[in-house]
Amino acid sequence: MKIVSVGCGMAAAEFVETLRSNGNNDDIVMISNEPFIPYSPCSMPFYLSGEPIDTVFWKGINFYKRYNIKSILGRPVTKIAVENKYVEINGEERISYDKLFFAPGSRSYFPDDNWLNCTGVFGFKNLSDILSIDNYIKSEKVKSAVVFGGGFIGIDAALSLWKRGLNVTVVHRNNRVLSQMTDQEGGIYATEKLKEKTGIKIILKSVVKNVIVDNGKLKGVVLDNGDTLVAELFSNCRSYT
Amino acid sequence: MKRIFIDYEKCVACKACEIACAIEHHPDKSLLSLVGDKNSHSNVKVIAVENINFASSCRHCDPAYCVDACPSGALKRDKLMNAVIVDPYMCKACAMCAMVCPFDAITFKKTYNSPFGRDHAIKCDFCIERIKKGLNPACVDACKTKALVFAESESFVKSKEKLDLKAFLMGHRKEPANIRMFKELKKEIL
Repeated sequence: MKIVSVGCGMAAAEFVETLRSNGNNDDIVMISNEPFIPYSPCSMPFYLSGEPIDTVFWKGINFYKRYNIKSILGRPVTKIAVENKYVEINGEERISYDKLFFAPGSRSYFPDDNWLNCTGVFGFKNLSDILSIDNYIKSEKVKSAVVFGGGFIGIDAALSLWKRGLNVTVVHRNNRVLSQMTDQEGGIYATEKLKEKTGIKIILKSVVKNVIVDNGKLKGVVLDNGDTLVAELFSNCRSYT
Repeated sequence: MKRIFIDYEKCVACKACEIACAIEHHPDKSLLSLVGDKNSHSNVKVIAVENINFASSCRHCDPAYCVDACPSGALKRDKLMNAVIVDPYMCKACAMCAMVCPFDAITFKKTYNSPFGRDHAIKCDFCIERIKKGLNPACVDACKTKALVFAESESFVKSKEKLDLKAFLMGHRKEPANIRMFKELKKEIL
């Protein structure tokens, strides 16, 4: 039997490891549009704040070899033909399967595509985003950053950039950070503690409406109340809703 | 497989195990160097519930909830003792393991093993280095009342079951001396 996994994330890695540890010897193919061995998204912010990259690869760097897996990396799956049982990679190659495991993960949501027509605007979802941010900070000598979204990802992004030595501003819609996970009291306490223990500036009850671009580079962002924030880097960590 | 067993009927809460553990995991391995040292840590904790006291540390469950929960690959099984071992290099101190642990055996602290100068998970490592040398874990050697025992799990559990069943059927079950002592002490104080 041939098993194909669309995605090489945490779910796919755990799925394959469980199969193998239960004595499965089928052919397994893992396909990802990113060129990496399975990594832990929870560990990525620590890499950005200065810890070594090998701490991100939570299942070990010899994962594919250890479990005898064929990997197709850096090429996205563009079509899944369920009736004929094959997946199409990059619109060219076809790979047949007997069982398909579908775990492609999520992507950052940008409300306006124009935000991506300049350098300095990033998501914070996958390792490609993190490596791009890392390179951008190094090459442009970035000093200030704005993070939009005060959930788990937004706060992780803000903390890692702050540890990196940047001036960070978090913009969040609600009246407290981590508002989806906390009640009023707990969330307000967390917001105060975050302000107290770090130098992160938190702007609440606000939304980033637009980006200011000069010469193809990000110069700042515009909030819904008309205020502008000067920043060389903007990380969009808001959710769909 | 050998395991550490705790007999609450013998524990007098002297905390010798805590100190022995802290000494064993300190780079200087001496009692004096623990004084005022914020980076020292003990993997075992004596817990008191009314008149019962016992040393609580990782039970090295199999399967272990913490190993399944760890999102950064920091908790792994040791081949020699099948013990659950934390790797501070990989640990991100997210506390998922502590949340799922049924024994409250994992805490977080900056220690001498912290590779990045921040908190990481600390838990019982079974004193693997001592076991390799043929010694008992430090807490077991330090226990003065033999409340902590390092023994083959299957035979130990069976013999304990037999003894308990016998005592129950014969009606020989008495209140353990240490619990009587704690009750008396409480009376004195009140």
